Amino acid sequence: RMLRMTLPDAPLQTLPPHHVLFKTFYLIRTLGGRAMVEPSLQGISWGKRLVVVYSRNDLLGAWIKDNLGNPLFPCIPRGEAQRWDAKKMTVNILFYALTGNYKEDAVHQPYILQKMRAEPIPH
Amino acid sequence: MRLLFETPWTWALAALAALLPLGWYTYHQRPQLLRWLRLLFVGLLLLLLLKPSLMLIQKTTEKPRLTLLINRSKSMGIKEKLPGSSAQKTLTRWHQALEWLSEKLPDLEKKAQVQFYAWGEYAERQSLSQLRSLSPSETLTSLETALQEVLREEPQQIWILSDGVEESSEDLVPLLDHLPVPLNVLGVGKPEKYSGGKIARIQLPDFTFLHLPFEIHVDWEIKSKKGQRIPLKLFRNKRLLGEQLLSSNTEEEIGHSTFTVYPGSLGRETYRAELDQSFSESSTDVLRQKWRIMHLTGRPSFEYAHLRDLLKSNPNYELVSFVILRNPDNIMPVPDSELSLIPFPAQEIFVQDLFRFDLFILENFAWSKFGLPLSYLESLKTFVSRGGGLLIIGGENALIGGGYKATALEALSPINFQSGGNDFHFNSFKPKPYNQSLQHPLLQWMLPPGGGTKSSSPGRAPGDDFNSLWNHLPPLEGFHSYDSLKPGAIPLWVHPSQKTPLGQETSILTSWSYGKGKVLLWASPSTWKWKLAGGLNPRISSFYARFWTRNIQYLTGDLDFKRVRWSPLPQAWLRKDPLPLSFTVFDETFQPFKDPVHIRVHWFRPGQTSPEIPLVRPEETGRYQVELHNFKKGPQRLKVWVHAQGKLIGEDEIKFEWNDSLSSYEAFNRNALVKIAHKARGNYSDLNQLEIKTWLRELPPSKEGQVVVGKKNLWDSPLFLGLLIGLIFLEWILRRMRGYS
Repeated sequence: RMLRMTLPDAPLQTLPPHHVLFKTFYLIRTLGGRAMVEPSLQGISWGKRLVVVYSRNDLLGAWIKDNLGNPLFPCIPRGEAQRWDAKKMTVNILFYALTGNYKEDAVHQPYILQKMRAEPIPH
Repeated sequence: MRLLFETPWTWALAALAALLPLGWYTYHQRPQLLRWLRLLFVGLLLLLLLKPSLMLIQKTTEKPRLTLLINRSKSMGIKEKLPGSSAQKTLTRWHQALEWLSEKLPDLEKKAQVQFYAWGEYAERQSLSQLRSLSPSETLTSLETALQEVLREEPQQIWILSDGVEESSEDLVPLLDHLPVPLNVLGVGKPEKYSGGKIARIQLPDFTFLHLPFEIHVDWEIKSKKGQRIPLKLFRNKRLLGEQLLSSNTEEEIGHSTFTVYPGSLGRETYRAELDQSFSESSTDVLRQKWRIMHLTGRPSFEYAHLRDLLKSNPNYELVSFVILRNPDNIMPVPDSELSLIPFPAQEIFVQDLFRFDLFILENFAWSKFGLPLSYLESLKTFVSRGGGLLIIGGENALIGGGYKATALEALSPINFQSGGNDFHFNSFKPKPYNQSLQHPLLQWMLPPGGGTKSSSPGRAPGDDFNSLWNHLPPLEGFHSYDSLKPGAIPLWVHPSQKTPLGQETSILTSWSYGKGKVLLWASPSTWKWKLAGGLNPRISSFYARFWTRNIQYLTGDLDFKRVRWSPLPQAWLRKDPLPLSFTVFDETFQPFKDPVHIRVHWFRPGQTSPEIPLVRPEETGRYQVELHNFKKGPQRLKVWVHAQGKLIGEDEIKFEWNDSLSSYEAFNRNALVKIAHKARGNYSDLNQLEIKTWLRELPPSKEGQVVVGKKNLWDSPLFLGLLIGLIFLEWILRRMRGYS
């Protein structure tokens, strides 16, 4: 509701799996978060730039640690693998803010495609 | 002889219908003698009503019409020694043509109806004796106009007699492709003596674009032994660009070669074709169509992200950028397949592809972390010295922090790095324009309307007028200190309070030239704050974009780009009167200017005032032409000014010498004539080499025809009237004599 009031002309849209946000630093194949409410990420674009990223899975909740340095919340249902996916997406969002659509440049595509075809190593 | 009845058949039927009853009545008359007299009378009357005429017809033979077009240009007045004749016997080309015509006229008239035309600007029908009284004096010739005029007479064949000096087959292609009759060409003139090869012409576009290939066309002639090979070479500034080996299957051959080349650098370039002892040169203006920018940044940052967005949004820029996302000392316990990182292509950036770029942006990149060879920086130095632009953006990994002290980058930099210690300071400050540099192109755009080297208020420095603008700009974070500026370096933006060890204001934006290239050092990596502040304050909303765009334009030479350009004069051009000259008006993306413009062209010539001369017509969008008439000998200068929406968008000037006398440029141009003949699918021959019977055999056969040579109207002859009266009188006599009723 708040987003609709702030940006009435820019609707929230589901980001496709090939969106640059999924490859700005980490190559992300699955989403994470504290709780897997939604299997996709949503965002608002302004021109060619993504200006809002919205996740219903509580990405930052996966980072919170207690005073002993242990994660405060479990990640449901996949546990630590899901936490790691959430951390990767958070890093990607930060890198996106600092590099824009850099990873969409043609020079990166052959390497990215090659790596995407490789099986991810389970954690 | 033939009998003809002139009355239309409808009237003839009507007359017959009218006279038949009379004939029928007469037929039943008695006595028989009277009957026949009456019938004879009716028949004679009917014959008269049919209006008989006698036509005298003669059979004729119509020969095909052959039109001979003789060039009457000034170059046909060049005297030449005829081959095989003594040194004293010389004839003008014009008289050579007339002598040949006189000699061959009987052969021509035996086979054709010959029509002579002298052609200059137009074609005029002449007899041979009239041609002898003319002289070759036309300064303007138009073969296209001449052909169009003679075609109105519907000849069956056209022969052209010319020295080829004024003609270009390219202009005639549309007409020659659709010529309804055969066209043969006779070359009048003494061929230049040469052996081996000769360049007839070199042709290239008036304007070309850097990084884009273009074609150079060379017309040549060779005389060599069969199978002998002669090299055709193409040079630019004495550097060999290409070579083709030419050989002819016959003793003499005319041909055409094409070279595809890339321009070397911006500005006027001259290309030279050499064949044996002969050469020809022509020039082109090399412009930039798109700037190729390499942006290498040492870490992700808002400064990088916003500058990249700006460069990507400009269609004139081709941007290749690399961001170091992970330093060599950042060891990550993550398999490589989970990272989108690619190997850092240092060799490609600094060695292989560097010279394909126009501008290199080095932003906060720590050289020392990567262990790259210092030869890469030497390569960057060469790049700048050859004309490339370099933008250095500071930060904690730049300059001393990046390990550049005493490297080629310090040599390229407009500042002498600090002697020791950390030279980057994380302080907040508001830079201001340097007062002594306000007229520099990189600051001038910020001046208030009307220029302004003087302050609007007494007692204030001119730069203080900028307070109204940069007071709205947020402060920047971080700047570099240094020992001193190098000689020739120009401070543009300075720190408001920081001073160098020599007591000068610390420059934040410094410009410098190195070799043929330009260098800008921007010592603070936080202009992104200007960008974001522009979202809050409309007064400065465009400041960020204009600031960086201006810097890029300065480094890439776009500020020097002339948007109005005369087409280059050819090295050897045909001196025509009027002389057509063209110029082009470009927009900011190097395309022909489409919007309405106001153009003034002034022609400055010896002993004359400088009148404005009219444009002929726009040749195509953005390209215009003028025609110069009535030349006076001496230096000539043309200047053009172009305005759009009341603003001057460009001007250009061209200078040349005008000498009216004929020169070696008017050499017999067989090449051009051969091309015309080939394009018209006709034949070519030198005048004195022609076996005229072979060409005459190609004329269509004569047509058999008839012509009426006389006509006699029988119907108005007194004889007929006399017969009619005589018949009536005879009947009267018979009636009186024999008592008929």
